[in-house]
Amino acid sequence: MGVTGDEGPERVDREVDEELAFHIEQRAAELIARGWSAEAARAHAHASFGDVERIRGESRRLRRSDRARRSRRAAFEALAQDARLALRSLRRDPGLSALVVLTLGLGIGFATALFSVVDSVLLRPLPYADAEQLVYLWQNDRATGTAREAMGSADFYDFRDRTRSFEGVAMWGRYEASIQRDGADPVQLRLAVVHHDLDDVLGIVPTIGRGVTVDETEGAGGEVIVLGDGLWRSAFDADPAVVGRDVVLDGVPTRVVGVLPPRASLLMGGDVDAWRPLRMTPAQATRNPHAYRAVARLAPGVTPAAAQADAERLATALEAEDNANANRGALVEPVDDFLRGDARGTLFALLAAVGVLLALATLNVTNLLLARAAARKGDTAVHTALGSGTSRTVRRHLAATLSLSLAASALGALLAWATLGGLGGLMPPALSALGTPTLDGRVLGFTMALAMSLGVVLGLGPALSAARVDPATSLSGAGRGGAGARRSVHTRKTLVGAQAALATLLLVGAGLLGLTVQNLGRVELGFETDQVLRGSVALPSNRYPVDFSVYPQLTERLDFIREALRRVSDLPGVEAAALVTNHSLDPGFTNSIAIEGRPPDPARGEPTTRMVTPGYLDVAGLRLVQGRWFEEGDDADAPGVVLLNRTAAERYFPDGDALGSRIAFWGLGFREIVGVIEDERVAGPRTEAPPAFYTSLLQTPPAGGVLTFMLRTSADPRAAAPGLRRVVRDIDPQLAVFDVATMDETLALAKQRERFVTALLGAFALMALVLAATGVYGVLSYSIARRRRELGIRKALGADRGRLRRMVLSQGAGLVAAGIAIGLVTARLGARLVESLLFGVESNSPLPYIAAAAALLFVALAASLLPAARASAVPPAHALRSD
Amino acid sequence: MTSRIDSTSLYGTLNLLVLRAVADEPLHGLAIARRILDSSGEHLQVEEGALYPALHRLERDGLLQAEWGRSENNRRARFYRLTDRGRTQLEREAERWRAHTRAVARLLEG
Repeated sequence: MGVTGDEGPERVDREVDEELAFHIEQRAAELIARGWSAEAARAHAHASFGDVERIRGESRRLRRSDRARRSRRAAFEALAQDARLALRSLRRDPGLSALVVLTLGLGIGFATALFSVVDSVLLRPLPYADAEQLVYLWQNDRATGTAREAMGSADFYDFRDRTRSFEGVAMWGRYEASIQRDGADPVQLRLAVVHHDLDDVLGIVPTIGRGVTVDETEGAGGEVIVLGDGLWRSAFDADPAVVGRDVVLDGVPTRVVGVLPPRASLLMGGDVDAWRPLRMTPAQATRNPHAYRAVARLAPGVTPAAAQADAERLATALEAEDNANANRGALVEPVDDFLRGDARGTLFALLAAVGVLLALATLNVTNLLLARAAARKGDTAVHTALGSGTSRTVRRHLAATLSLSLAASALGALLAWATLGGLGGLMPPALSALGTPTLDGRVLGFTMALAMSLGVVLGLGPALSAARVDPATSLSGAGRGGAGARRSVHTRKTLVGAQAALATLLLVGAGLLGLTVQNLGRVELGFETDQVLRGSVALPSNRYPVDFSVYPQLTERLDFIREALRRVSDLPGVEAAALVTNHSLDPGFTNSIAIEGRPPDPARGEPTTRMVTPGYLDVAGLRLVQGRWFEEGDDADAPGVVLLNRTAAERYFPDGDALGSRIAFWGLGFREIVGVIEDERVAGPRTEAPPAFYTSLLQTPPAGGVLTFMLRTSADPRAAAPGLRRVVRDIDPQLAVFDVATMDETLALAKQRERFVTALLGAFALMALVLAATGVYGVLSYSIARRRRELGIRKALGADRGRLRRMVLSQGAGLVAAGIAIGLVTARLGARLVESLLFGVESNSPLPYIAAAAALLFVALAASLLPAARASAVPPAHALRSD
Repeated sequence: MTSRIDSTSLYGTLNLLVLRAVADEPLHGLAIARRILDSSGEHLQVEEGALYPALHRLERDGLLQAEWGRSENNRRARFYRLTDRGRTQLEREAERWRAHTRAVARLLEG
């Protein structure tokens, strides 16, 4: 007696009742036969039975538990059998199974790799306590339209003391220094000078030792340094006893007092190596320079919007109190938004794309499985005829597809793991600063969940179609030309059309991004980046003092600049050399200027400041528009001269009289504009060149620390790096050369986000094309095979090979035509998703759409070639034989 | 003289009787009660209610297998037969019973 799934516990209860009733009635019947009355007989039978209710209850309980156990065992056996049958059927079709696993595996691999990026960048919590309560405090400049600027130290104290919205506010600044080591090159450090409250506001606790204290910022505390986690591991070997050690920082002994937790400096931009105290008391604070960034923790219950209103109120008050704050507003921005807002947009668009790819892969595999199901209609029909229910068939298909998707998940995880390194390298710095993608538990969990879902989706489709098979028609062999088969082909054709639509989406996306990258590459930057090496040094103020009373005669700095340039220019392979404060792709900072003979005009805004040596013209390949460039004679003893870029000249001197006019800045006297230079896109290829003025480094040596060498080389620029380091070391062994890169690399990084998205979309689009091709090929082959007889008759009736071939080719095109149309329309709507990434191309530019349609059509035709050849080769005689 | 056998009797006695009763042919519950009464020379009369939980327990434990069939007067009844495991269990129980009675007998002999 088998237990099928349709027996419920109620049936068992009824059986118990029936069994007991039989017994009692038989006993009563015996008594009636002996002459008892029916009533008396039944009463006696009941009584001698015992406590009927109790017995009934006990029997029911026993039988129910028996039934439950049996059905569990049957279910388990059914499952095991399904698994066995599934594996057997997969082994019978190794080619198909391999193809399915490969297709799904690629899709899962892409999705896993992308998810690991999303996980490390977006899902990982920021390393601060209650990070959603942290906000940046920015100033902004209404005149120049900049939305985010650093503030002066006095502004910080005002924001801290004169607002009500914050639980704590702290500031920091940046500078460079180097650690001197005996017998080794100095190590350059990027340092943050921090207010003593910073670690409290952020909610971080040093893993070893302590942070910076008020003694060290406002009092008489000594020189201390708190190491970042990365620096501690790389330069100090993660030594747990590092606290108390002294390091020599720019010649000054500095005590290590603690180690920060990992990623602590994320909100500063992520490239900070260590913290030092920001030595400042409220009395010493000034409105200028705007060199300090601030972060605040919102008080409980305060929203960013409320804090924004509060900050704006204060900014307005400050404007009225102090001229230096003219046009200065405030911006309160959640740290999370700033760090991850852009990333969210980009990554969501990519996730959508990978979702499209997965859908494509699923449709493709569904087609493959339908093909196999159609070929095996015989088997299914036999099974159905022998009593296998619909749910049984569904379960068996599910077992098969789940096994396939499980195998695919392993392949996908492997592929993702292999590409993760490359993916990390391709990520734009804004994303990689937030985290490195790894294959951890959560990512693998995602992979499994994805594979399971795909397995279920794939299992239900063909299963439902197979379950509808009518045994009679299939077994009788009419299946080949019957309605069921026609419906199957129709379904498969629809699926191919859907694949074409999805592929079109990806192709359009890849096309738009590809055009963007191409446009970015064609932008007239205003400077040359090929064969230029850059490398920076930081001149510490103890050995290269800055005494404003003798400015610009800062002897040590001028001597260094001259000597270093002379030696570097003598290096083999160096065609031109220059020293600058900001290289060509570094926007630097702005300064306000006064124009002689004109009243101050706050609406003028502040131009960008470029301080260069005369060699910069040749290194960067600048074009002179008017007048002259700097010469060696423009030094600290000569009258001050300045150049404007074209944008500045047109903006400030719309009448064209820039040459000869005089401007003043930094509190220095007026100097003559001797030339106009063509614009440089210093803010990157996407951004128009800002107005800028240029001064000669020899006339205005920088008070700030960092100078950047730029060398134009005849051969590979990287080869000049060792020479550069040697020159610097020979002049001053305590100086380190850091941030060495070629300008080509720097330019590539500026376009990294677009390149990252394009690379991924391109890979998706390529896979989409391949899948569409195999889809078309599969359906056409099947259709041709089914229609052999019809084709043979056509042949016999005189159709030539060419005609048959063309017929098949047009069928192939027809399969994708509707899909392409739908895909184009959807792409037009969806292109909005990537609009922010585009450059030089509108989301409705016709070219990518036309190219996508053409590519897909071409691929469909190519995939139709072989079936077309086969169709045209059908011999007429063969077909008339009945099959 | 008859002894009433019910679920409180010597542990397993009822099981032993039931297993033996169906050892030769499948029987329904009523017939099992009759068979026990007849074969024991009318000594052992099973309390009829106790029989069914015992039968269902034996079925659940895999010693009996049950099937619906037709009784002698063509009514639907549930027939119980011995499984292989039940047969093995019967022999074991029987042997244990015999050893038990031999021991008691020896005791009584002094």
